[in-house]
Amino acid sequence: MITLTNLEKVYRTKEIETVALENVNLTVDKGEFLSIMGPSGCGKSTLLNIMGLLDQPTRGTVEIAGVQTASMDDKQLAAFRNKTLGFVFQSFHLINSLNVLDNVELPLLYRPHVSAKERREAAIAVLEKVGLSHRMRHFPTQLSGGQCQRVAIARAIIGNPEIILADEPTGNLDSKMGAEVMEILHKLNQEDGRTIVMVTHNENQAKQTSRIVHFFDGRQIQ
Amino acid sequence: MPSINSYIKQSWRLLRQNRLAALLSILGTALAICMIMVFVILFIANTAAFKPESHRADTYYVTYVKTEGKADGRRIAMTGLGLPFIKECFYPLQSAEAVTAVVRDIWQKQILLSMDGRNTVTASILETDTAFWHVYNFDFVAGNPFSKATFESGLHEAVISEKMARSIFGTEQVVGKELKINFQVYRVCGVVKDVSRFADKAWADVWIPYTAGTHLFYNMEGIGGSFECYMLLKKGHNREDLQQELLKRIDNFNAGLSDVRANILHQPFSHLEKWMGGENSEVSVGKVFLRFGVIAFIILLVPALNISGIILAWTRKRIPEFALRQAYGATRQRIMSQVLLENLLVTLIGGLLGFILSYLALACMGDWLMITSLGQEQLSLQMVNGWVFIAVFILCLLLNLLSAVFPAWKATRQQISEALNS
Repeated sequence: MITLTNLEKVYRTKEIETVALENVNLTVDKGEFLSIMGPSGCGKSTLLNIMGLLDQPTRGTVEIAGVQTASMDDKQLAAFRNKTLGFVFQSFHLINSLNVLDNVELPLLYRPHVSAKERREAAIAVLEKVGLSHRMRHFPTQLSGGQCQRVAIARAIIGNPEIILADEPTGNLDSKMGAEVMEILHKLNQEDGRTIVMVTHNENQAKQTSRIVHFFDGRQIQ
Repeated sequence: MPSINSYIKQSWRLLRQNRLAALLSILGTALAICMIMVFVILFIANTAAFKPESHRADTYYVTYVKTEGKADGRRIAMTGLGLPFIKECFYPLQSAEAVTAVVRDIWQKQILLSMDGRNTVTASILETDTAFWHVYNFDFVAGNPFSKATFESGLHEAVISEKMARSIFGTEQVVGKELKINFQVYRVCGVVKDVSRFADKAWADVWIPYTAGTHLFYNMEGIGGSFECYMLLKKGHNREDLQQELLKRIDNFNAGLSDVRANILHQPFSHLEKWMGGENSEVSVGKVFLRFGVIAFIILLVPALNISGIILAWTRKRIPEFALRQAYGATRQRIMSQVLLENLLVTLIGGLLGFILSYLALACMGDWLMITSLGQEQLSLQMVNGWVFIAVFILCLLLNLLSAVFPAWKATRQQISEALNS
C-alpha cells in the first residue's frame, strides 16, 4: 500500500544541516496496522508527514496505492490526499470556529460533486460511528480531549480513505480516553480493512498492532 | 463553490471571536469607503443622467463664442451666442435631434408676484424655445410646455415649478392662472416637479419663451448675444458628425461676414467635459479620470495597508488551520480564495457602513460639499442609484484585494507539516 524507497530527509539552515531520515526503505501492506516507535527527535513524525504528502523527502521515492507521488503538483497532491489519506494528530487540530459537524465535513468540502446534504449525512453517519452524534452542534472547546480525538477520527474517515496516518493519537489523552481511541482505530483496521500507520511512544498500544518498526537517529533499526 | 456558505459562516464566527480586530478593520474600511463615496456620489449627481437631464450622455453644449477679426485673428469679444448666429448655424443641424437656445441670468433673480399683489417671491427665470422640452425630460404635474404657436407669437406664457406654484398660488393646480413676472402678466401653461440644482442646465424656477423676454439683442453681426445652445445628438450620429457639421455651417456663416468671424474654439463640450472644467479650454476626460483614480487609489491604499496588517496577524494565527485544510485536500489557490472571501465579508460590512456614513457626511456638511454652480442643493434620492451601489461594491473589492492578497499568499507559503505545528 505504501512503499518508501531510499528515503532521506535533510533540514538545512545557513549554519547547520540536520539529517532527519536516512536511507529509509519501508513497505506497509494493505490492511496492515503499523506502529512506528522511537525516541523523540528520531524522525518518526517526519516519516509520517512524508507518507502523508505533507512534506517532501530530500531524496528517495514515495509510492502510495500504486502511485508515484514525486511528480505531482500542488493540485494533484491535494486531490490525492483528499481521496486516499486520513490524518489523526496528537493535538487534534480541530478548527475552533467550526462546530463538530462542520469540522467533520471538512474533507468533503474539497471533494468535487458532493452536495451539502450529502456532506451532512456522511458527517452524521461517521459521528455515530465514533459515538458522538449527540455532540454534533458543539464546538471543540466544549469537548473533552477524548471527544476531540474522536471527532478528529470521524473527520479522518469521512472521505473513506484507504490509509489513516495517526501521529501519537493518544499522546494528549489519559489512559481511559486513550484506550477508547485505540479501540476505534482497531475497529477501523479490522472491520473496515483500513491501513493504519501510527506513531506512538506507548509500547502497550504498539504491541496491539500488527507490526512495529523502530527508529533511532533517523534510521530504521528494526 | 459549495463551500462558500461554510466560509461565510466561519468568517462570521471569527468576527465575533475577534471583536476588536474586526471592529478596527470594519471601521478602517468604512472610513476609507466613506471618503471616496462622497466624491463618487457628487460625481454621479453631477454627471449621471436623471430627470430632467435624462440625455446627458448625448447632449452637447456651446456656451460662448469668440468674435475675432478676420484679418488678424484679434479677439474682439468673448460673449454668449447671438440669435442670428444660432438660427443660421445651430437650429438647422441635421445631426442633432433637437437644438435649444436658452438665456439664463443666474446672478439676477426676478420678482414673481401674484395678481392681487399679496404673494411675492424672487425666482430664477430661464428663457428658451420649444425644443428645450425635447432636450430635457420634465415631469409635468399639470398642463403642458408652451406651444410652438405661443413661442412664435411671443405670448406671455410660463411654465413654473411646483415650489413657485405653491408660493404664489398655494396649490399646484394653477394652469390658466395669471401671475406677474417683473410686473408683466404671464399665463401659467404648465407646472413641473422641482428640479435639482445638480441639473444645472435645465434648472430654473420659471421657464418662459425667449420671444417674450428681453434678451433678443445681439451684436457683432449677430455673433454675440446672451444665449447658450444645447444640442441633443440624433440617433445614429456621433460627436464628430455634430462637430463637423457645426464647423461647416459656421464657416458658411463667416463667409457672409465682412470684417469679423465667429469662433467656438474647442466647443461643443459634452456634459462630462463641461463639468470637469471645460468652460475655457480643451479637456482630457481620460486625464481627469486618471487623476481621480490615482487619488482614490492612494486614499484606499493607506487604510488597506493598515487593514492588511490586521489581517496578516489574524491569518498568522490561523496558519495551522490552513495547513490542516491543505492536508485534507485544499489547494493553495483555494486557501487564498477563502481568505479573500472571508475578508470580503469584512469589507462589505465596512462598505455598507461607509456608504451610510458618506450620506451622513453629505447631509451634515452640505454647506460646503453640496454646492453647485447654482447654489447649495439638498441631499435627494436621485443621488442613490444603481451606479452608487456598483461603485461601493467595486471599491470594496479593490480594498479587499489590496488588503488581503498578501496575507492570503503568505498563509499558503509554508510547508504543510511545519505550518501544522507552528
